[in-house]
Amino acid sequence: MLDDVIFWVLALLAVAGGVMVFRFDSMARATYALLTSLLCVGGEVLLLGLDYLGVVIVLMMTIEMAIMAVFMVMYMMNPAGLMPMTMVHNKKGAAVICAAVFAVLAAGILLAPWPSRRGKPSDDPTMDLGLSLMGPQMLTMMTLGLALFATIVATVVLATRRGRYDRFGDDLKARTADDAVRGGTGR
Amino acid sequence: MGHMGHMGHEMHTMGQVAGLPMAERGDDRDELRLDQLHVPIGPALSNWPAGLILRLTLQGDVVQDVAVDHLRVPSVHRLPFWDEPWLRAAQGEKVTRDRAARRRCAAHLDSAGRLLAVVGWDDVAARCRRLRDEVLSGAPREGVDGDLRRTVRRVGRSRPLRWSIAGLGELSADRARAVGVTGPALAADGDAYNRLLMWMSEVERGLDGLDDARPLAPDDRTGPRGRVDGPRPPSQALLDVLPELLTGAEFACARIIVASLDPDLDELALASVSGAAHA
Amino acid sequence: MPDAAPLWATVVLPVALAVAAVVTAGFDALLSGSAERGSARTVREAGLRAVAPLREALRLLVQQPRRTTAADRLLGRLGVVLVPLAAVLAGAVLPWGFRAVSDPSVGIVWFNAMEALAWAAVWLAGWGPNSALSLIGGYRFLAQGLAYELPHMFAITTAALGAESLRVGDVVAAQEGLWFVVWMPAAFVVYLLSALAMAFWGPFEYPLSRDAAGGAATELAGVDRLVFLGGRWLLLVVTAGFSVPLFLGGGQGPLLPGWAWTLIKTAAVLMLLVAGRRALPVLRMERYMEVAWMVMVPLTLLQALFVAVVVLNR
Repeated sequence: MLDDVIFWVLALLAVAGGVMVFRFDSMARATYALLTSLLCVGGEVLLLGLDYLGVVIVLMMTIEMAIMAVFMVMYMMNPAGLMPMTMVHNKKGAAVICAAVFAVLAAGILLAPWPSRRGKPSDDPTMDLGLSLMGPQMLTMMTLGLALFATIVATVVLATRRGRYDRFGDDLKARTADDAVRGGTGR
Repeated sequence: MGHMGHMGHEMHTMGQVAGLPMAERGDDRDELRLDQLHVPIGPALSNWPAGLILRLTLQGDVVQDVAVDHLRVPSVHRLPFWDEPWLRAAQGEKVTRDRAARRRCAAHLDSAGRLLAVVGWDDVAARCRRLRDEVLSGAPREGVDGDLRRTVRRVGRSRPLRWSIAGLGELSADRARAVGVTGPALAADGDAYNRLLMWMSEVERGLDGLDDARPLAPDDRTGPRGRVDGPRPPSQALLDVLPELLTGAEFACARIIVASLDPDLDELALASVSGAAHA
Repeated sequence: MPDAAPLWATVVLPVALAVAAVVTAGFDALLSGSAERGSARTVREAGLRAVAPLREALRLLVQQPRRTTAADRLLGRLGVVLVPLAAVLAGAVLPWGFRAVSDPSVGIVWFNAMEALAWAAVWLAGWGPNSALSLIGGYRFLAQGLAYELPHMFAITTAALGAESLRVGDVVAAQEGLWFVVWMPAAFVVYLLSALAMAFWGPFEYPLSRDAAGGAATELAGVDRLVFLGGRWLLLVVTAGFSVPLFLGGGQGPLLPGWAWTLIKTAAVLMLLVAGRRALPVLRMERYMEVAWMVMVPLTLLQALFVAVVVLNR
């Protein structure tokens, strides 16, 4: 009973947060509406007994949204959403796509023939979930993770305008880097 | 966060929102076109030269442009406090070395206290201020000597402090001389950290002058911020050098650079006063 | 070893944290007072200096809140309230002796997630008033977050690795023979640094530092300011207190009961931090960031590797 109440409260809040992303005309509010929505999703995952995943969603999403706020500030210096602006391109299209995806997913959940429970839930559902999701493919997943990380690093390296030759001279012999702002390790 | 990555700026109105001007765009240091924000700092802030106004043009965290301004200096017939002994001596009054040394020590402790407070080392900043008050109130040399030397040593030995502010506001002696800077900022020949150390070493040297009842040497016309008998008050030169030091600096460094020069706006009234003294 | 705490502990927790915060702030005020006006001559004078934070709190209670033009009051308020809230929620997994208000199987991740709320909180408090200086303070905290969060995560992961569990109770139990601080010194030091950074206090006061005229707290006045700055002391107490179960053996110790050891160890860590703060200026993020990524991340990774090898060979 209590679980049901919590489920519905979190679900409604999550959907409302998602809708508000489209409604708010301030970047900060839209960002934090999205964060509210994601935190509610984290709560739902906790409700499923997947403690680790739920808390990690809360942790990662908070940091992610906060960092997104930095980018926002970096590009425009108008505090407190002075300039009304929408957060999405093609607002109508985006709203339609979101509503359609939501409807399809919800219909899928309602219409799928879920099996009834056999036996009792395991002690560590997070572990079971991980095993059933990628048990036999663990090696593939690990390799994929490394590849993704390498891609991120490579992209940043390629995108940087100033490389080490600009910073340390053509023979890389300069004692301190030629940067606009000096760093803390004295290189 | 996918769809948030590319933020659509469907801006319709430029101009004013809620009575405040909006940011306009301009080229920045890293060759991007970003919003510019105009932020005045001053005239009244804690640990800030009273009356100084800097009109900054910020892009992100970087100072792109700066206009130095100040409140009108009231033209009262009162000598600027920190330069008083030297000006009085220039006017022919008898001034003891003790008085000049006290004033110089206190002025530097005052400046150092301000810089250390801006850097966020409250403990030593508070000590500097306490010592400043003690020196000014005429405490005998034995009373302050030990405390003062300890504080000076503490500042000089702090590696985190050096790590934190070295390299900020680099001002070579040649450049300083060209602009007309005369005081410790010229002698320091370096960055904010060098200027702080110069203040501290002058404080330590000034200790010898304490309780010295002889009159001030006739050629000693160098106040805490520079020569008071020059064509312009020493702080004017410090103000003139500010724009070139601040442009291109991060906002975080701006106040440290200002505090490391510590111009005294009272001195700007000096032009008329010293003119009178010469006449 | 860990038991469930009784229900009244939930009510006691915020009060206990607040008392600890007031005592810590009083100790800090005492040290500041001796720097500003010389050491106290009488006990009464020392007492008066120690209650300065309480006097300041009363003053803030009656002070009028400040309004700024075109402010986002909703988000600003949210940021202010989130700071103490995050501190108390993180404190829920803090074991008092061997009992915590709650000891979930992922307590360590929970603690970290609540700390991350402080990221959002400080940024929101800086964004809300529509003031350039407070916004600068707000995003400084994010820069600080990027600098401390990774070393911090690796440091607490190392402790969890040593205990082979994410449950705080298990981490305490695993230190029965040997405290983690003995064989994870690097992780401990990095944890203490990041604890200060998380509470944006002392050498990590940068988001609120004076070169931005008070940063994120510039425009806060009255009750808002009290809640925000009080929440910061709470965060400091909680993050410093969490180093006790992670590295200092929690309630383990001879003779005295567990709760007493927790109290003694927490007080010792807080005293170390408050007194150590006197020796350092504010660490500026443009400098600290490079040290964090070039020195501390590799250092904590090596520490974690060392612990992992030890655990595998156990």
